[in-house]
Amino acid sequence: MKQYRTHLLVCAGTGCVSSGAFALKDALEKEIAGRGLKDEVLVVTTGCNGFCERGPILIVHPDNIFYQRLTPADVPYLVEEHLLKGRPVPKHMYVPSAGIEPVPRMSDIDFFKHQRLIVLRNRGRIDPEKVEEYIAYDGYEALAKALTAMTPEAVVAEVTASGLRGRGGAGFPTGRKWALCRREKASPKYIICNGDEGDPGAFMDRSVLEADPHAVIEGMVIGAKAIGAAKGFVYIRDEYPLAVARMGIAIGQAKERGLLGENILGSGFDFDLEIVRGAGAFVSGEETALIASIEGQRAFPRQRPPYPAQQGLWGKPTVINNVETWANVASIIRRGAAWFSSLGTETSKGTKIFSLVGKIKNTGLVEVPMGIRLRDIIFGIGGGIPGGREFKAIQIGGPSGGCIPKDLLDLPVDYESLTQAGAMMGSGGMIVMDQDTCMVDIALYFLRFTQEESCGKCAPCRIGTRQMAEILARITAGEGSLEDIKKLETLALTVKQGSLCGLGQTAPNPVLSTLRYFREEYLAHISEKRCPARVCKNLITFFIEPEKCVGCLLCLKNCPANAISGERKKVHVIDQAACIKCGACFNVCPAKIQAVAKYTGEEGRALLDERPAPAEP
Amino acid sequence: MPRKKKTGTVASGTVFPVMKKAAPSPGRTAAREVIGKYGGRKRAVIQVLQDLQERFRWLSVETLEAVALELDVPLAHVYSVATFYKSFSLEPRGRHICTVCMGTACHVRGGTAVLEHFERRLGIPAGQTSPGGEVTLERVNCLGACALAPLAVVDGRYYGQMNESKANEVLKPILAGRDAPPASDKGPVD
Amino acid sequence: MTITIDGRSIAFEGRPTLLEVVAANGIFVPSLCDHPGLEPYAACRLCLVEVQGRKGFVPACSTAAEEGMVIRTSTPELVALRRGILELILAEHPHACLICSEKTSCDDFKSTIRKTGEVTGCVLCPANGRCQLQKVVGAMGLEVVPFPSHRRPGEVRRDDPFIDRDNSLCILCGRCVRVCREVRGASVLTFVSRGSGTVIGTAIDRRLIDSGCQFCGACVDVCPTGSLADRAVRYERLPETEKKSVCPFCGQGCSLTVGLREGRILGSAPDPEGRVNRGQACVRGRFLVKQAVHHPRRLLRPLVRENGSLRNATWEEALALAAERLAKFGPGEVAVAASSQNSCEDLYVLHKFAAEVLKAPVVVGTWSGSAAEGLRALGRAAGQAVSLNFRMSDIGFAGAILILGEDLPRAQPMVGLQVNKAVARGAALTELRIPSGKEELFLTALAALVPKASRAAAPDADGGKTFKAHLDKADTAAAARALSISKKELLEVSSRLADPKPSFFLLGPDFVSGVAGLGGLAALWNLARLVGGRVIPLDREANVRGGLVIAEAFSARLSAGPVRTGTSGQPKPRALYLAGPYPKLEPGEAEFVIVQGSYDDENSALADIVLPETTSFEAEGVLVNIEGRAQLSAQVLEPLGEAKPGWWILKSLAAKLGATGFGFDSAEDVRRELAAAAPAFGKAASPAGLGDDEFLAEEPAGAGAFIDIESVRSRDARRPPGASRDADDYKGLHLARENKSLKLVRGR
Repeated sequence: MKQYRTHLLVCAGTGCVSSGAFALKDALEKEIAGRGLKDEVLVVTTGCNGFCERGPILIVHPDNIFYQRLTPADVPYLVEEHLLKGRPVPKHMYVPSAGIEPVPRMSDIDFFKHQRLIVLRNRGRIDPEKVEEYIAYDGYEALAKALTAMTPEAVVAEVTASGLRGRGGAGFPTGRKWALCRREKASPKYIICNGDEGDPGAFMDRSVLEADPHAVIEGMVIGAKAIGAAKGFVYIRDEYPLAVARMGIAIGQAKERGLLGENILGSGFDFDLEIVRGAGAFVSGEETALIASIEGQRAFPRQRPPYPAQQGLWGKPTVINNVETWANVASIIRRGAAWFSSLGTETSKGTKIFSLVGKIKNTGLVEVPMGIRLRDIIFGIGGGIPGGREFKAIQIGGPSGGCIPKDLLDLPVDYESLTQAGAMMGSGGMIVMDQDTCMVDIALYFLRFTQEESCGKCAPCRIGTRQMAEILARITAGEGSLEDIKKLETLALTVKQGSLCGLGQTAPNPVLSTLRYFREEYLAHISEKRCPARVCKNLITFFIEPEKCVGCLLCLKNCPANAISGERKKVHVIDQAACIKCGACFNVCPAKIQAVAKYTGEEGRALLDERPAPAEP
Repeated sequence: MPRKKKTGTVASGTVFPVMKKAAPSPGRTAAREVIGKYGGRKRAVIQVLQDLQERFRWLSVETLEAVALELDVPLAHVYSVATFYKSFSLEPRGRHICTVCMGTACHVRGGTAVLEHFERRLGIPAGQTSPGGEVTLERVNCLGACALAPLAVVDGRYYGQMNESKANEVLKPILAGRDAPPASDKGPVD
Repeated sequence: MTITIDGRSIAFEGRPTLLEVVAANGIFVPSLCDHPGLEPYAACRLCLVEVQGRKGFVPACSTAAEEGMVIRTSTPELVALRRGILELILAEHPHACLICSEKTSCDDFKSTIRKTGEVTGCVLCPANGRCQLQKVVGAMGLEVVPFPSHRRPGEVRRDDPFIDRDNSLCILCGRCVRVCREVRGASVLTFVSRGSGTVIGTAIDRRLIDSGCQFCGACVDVCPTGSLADRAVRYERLPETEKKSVCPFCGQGCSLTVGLREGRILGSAPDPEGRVNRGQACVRGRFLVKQAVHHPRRLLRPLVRENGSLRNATWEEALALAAERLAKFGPGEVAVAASSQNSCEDLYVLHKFAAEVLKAPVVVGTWSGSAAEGLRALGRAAGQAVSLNFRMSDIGFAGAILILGEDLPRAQPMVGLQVNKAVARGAALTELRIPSGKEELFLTALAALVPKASRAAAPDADGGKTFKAHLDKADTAAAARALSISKKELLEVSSRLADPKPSFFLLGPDFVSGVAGLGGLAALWNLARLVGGRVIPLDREANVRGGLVIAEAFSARLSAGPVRTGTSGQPKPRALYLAGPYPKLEPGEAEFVIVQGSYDDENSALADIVLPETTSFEAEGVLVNIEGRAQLSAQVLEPLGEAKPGWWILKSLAAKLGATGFGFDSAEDVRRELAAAAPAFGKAASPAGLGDDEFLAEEPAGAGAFIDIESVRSRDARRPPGASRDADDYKGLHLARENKSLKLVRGR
């Protein structure tokens, strides 16, 4: 293999690609060629680094310098300075917050330094479209071990001993699932990788599939050997075209190298893998629904038991694990159960990837040991809330999860603690919310989501989520009554206990958890017709403070409803009758002026009464 | 001449080749091609529809019928599947497609306002196509690019940290009706 | 095995679901999506129960009972949960009447206000009184629905034959979709869209009739609400009584439940316990019974010809006149026609009357030319027993099926369901349509292509050697060319027929009555023999097998020979006694014609005397279906007008003619004598013996030997050609011509 002095690792995850990673890569290659560095410097595209908000990202290897938010225009200077003169360029480095020195090395950046990478170990360092790069970092070593030096029973035992639990939902022990399926006599057996990552706000599976598809393949082949399956399916959301493409390339390469297909590594074991694309249905993430979808049916879940491990795809024993779970397997086999289980807590072993998004400074994917405190994720890694705002809650587990308030920031992140707190591990979406987030609105958001994504098969979920969403809509519109809270609680119980599958059984969680921790916000909406976060349109009034307005016409020009009147250098006024409360004026009013204010409740109504809209000129 | 033929309701799973009158239509030909790619397996109906949707941008009745016929599955099944999954559009879609992400991260960062802005600018509610077939506005539940929230995708390009003025910029060529590629929303069969 | 339910120890056998166990023991657990004929679905969630040791609640419909389980069905928590779910269901279903405190006092007016476009409450609903949702609400005592209600989307669809669809009443239990796909193999109805927008519909929202629907009515029968309704009864009041009978419209013998009110039939539905049909029927049995029985063309009074035209007469008058005229003809001068749509009792007395009173040369019956008769003739020609009995359910386990000359969905829908089952289980299905004289070529080519191993297994004895020699001469390539089928295709069919699972050759009357002849039948027989398969005769009339057995019992006493063949030197009959179909009479064709029938037709119009006969629903009688199953079809209503059962008419006429031995007082009397005269009936016809699973007795036939094709071909000329009956013809009433809706269905 040709040796290069320096590797330029351009992140080509979806985030960076949409921020122009490929334009950056082209510019780099052109510049390098132009400077005659072609034999010394290699430009490599890698999978997602997780720090997507800072894209496009460039890491200079082996210096470990982390550049962010680069444009092609930055390239000539960067190449000249860093690659020719050996002087890293501080102006493109990460700055934690204003006034602090830039951090040159990736490993020194808060976002990265607290992480512990098992699943994401290859992120940003290999080209996911090149199997040899995966192999160079110990790839397929575990497979060779499992196929040649271990019995299937030993593999199952190892996974069981590691304490690995499903990373996509309720956290069922993976080893137990495999053992159950292995015991079944029916054949053929199947294994499935659930890559139908539907939780809004979570994208770890996408990232793993894009950044390290071979890790998933290796895990699946090991799993197939362990349970005795000859055929597997990788089910990937259609919204993830890049993941589909990379997985396709990886499968092709693995087949070429005898890592997949017939007689794998000469061991006599055959295993074939096929990609199935989802078609836009959140419920397909439920394992029985996913099976129906692979079978070419509507993604209707069915009653369990029998579990898929007993009767799954085409009625045959089937093991389904999600992407992150499969991606853990090779490391466990390679490094041993003891090593894996030394990480994490008593009941939750290993690491977990979270997507840290929302109102947080450093957004992106983080992999951390189980048991880490929420505070350490949000403030240690995430850098806290931007704009000097206050942390309010963190939503974990998507539509099945719940909102955890400030008081519980010291909660250790493991399956049991999260469930007790009314949230759920789920696939690991963490959406940070600040004082400007209305918790009733968030509950409504999720219930609308589940109502829309309910498959419609069972009555409690189909009708219950709809009724709950309607009550929440009523409350956010200021038309709720105290009785509605009771109704919500009763309905939540009916839907939770009555629904057929996990989607319905957990759908009420966002309501229950917000009712549990933010009941006063519900009461404010109902009793005072006030939205404390100033989000719910019916309950807020936009108002231009005359004493602050400088008459710049900016809001007037941006108002889509032509509800603002005024002249240059004169105070502008909002016609409340015409205002559609889109917030455009609030958003465009320059930060140093901040003349547009949002009022709610009594305050807002008083303002309306005192200063009626001026008559038409 | 003895003719082997399957009857309507009796056979839903014949294994013997059935003599089909090959009606030469683009839909049939396309369906046959795509189905061949999946080895003619009935279970691939979703994948087949996806590929055909990619080709024609939407699924016309003729396309659905061709798939049912070529895959030898009931039309009701094809229709049922096509109406279940959101990826499928049974109506012609616009020459331009705008998608606004409504994932949680986008929602807390103002995604709803972005969608409303798109609706106002394009003059159509989400899920619809402008009367002239110029543009379709869609909402999606999460594109998994949450770090870029709020996110919009216009003609396949991702635009992060979306806001009103950025949206105006992005939509300018569409609203001006420029860059309109030749109409291709006719569907497979005339 | 035992389980404990609500503290009660309950024994059970087999592998029932918990719901089946509670239902069998009279414990109330509501359910709206489960149905005995369908796979568990677990969608309505009303049957949730508590199982000790299991987390949460489990649906009883999809949980198997296991030894030692401890179940609770009515804890306060469960009752509250079920109530909560039911409230949700009602939020999307018109429920004003369901929770109305005045509902009892409203009952009397139900029928008067049911004719309405939109259903807003039970009193306006076609399912009022037979709605399962209504029953569940009643049992659970719901008084309030605490949510705003939503009308489910969609207009009421009335643009199809027979069936109205109203989505606003639908609770999405999916029974109709499942029965349409799982049981009927039709997949006409399906779920459209998803979530709260889900509706039951058809592909592209087309009409049922444009979606391949056969209008079997199964969806209507499983619908727990009024969402799918039988249009003909939706405005009718509920039946006063319901009686079971055997459907006489085809040869399969489905059990029907017939609803009656004020001496009239309201409607019919398949009997869930029916041995043949297990709750299924076809468009005729489901929707046309009422119309067939109460048809304006029914013959309801005896008619006699006077001054060239027919006039009403009393039975006494008509019978006396008939006897007087018949007495004038000598032996061999009166020919008799019979119908295998009549009961065994009718046919027996008719044969006896023909043989003993009229001394007729022949009773020409519609069993002639039937598939069963063809196989019988083949057996006779080859000198071996040919077994005709079979069980329809066996077809469901076939490895391969070859259909010859029958339109299963239309003429043999129950057989069709078994074929679907077999196909779903992986069977290969080939249909040979349009007989053309090349059947033998086709069948011989298939036999010649049977894999060598299977051929070698056929014993040389039993004529195997001759047959194999015959096959060795076959030029399969030439056959393929002649048939315009690729040899590869032929080979594939052939190798699938040799499947280790049994192959079934479904032999329809079109194949037999076509030009196939005995040579073709022999080729079929040998092919079946070679691959270890069975030949199944499918016939279209209700009592072909019974007719055949009775005819055989009398064959020695009648001088066999066709009526009006015109070729033989037989004299033309001078008089005709027509108790069955007969070619259209030419004026003056016979000196005297009696028609005994249920509907007027062109022959009855030319008759001298018309004797009105009951339909199958008005008289008890045994019908032997295609399987050889003898079923007692019960009388469900009093004979209309002055119609009488066939046996009664003939025994009365015999009495008038002074014949002895016709002293029957009931159908049962006839059966007693029939059992003695036709041993095949054995127990089946003895009054006590008619259980619901009786078959005609047959000589044990074994697999039978290979038949020498050439030798039977030479004996072929003796068989009379028959005409296969139109599947929609009932005793001269052509259902599809008479009923606009059926005409639409058939006309596609």
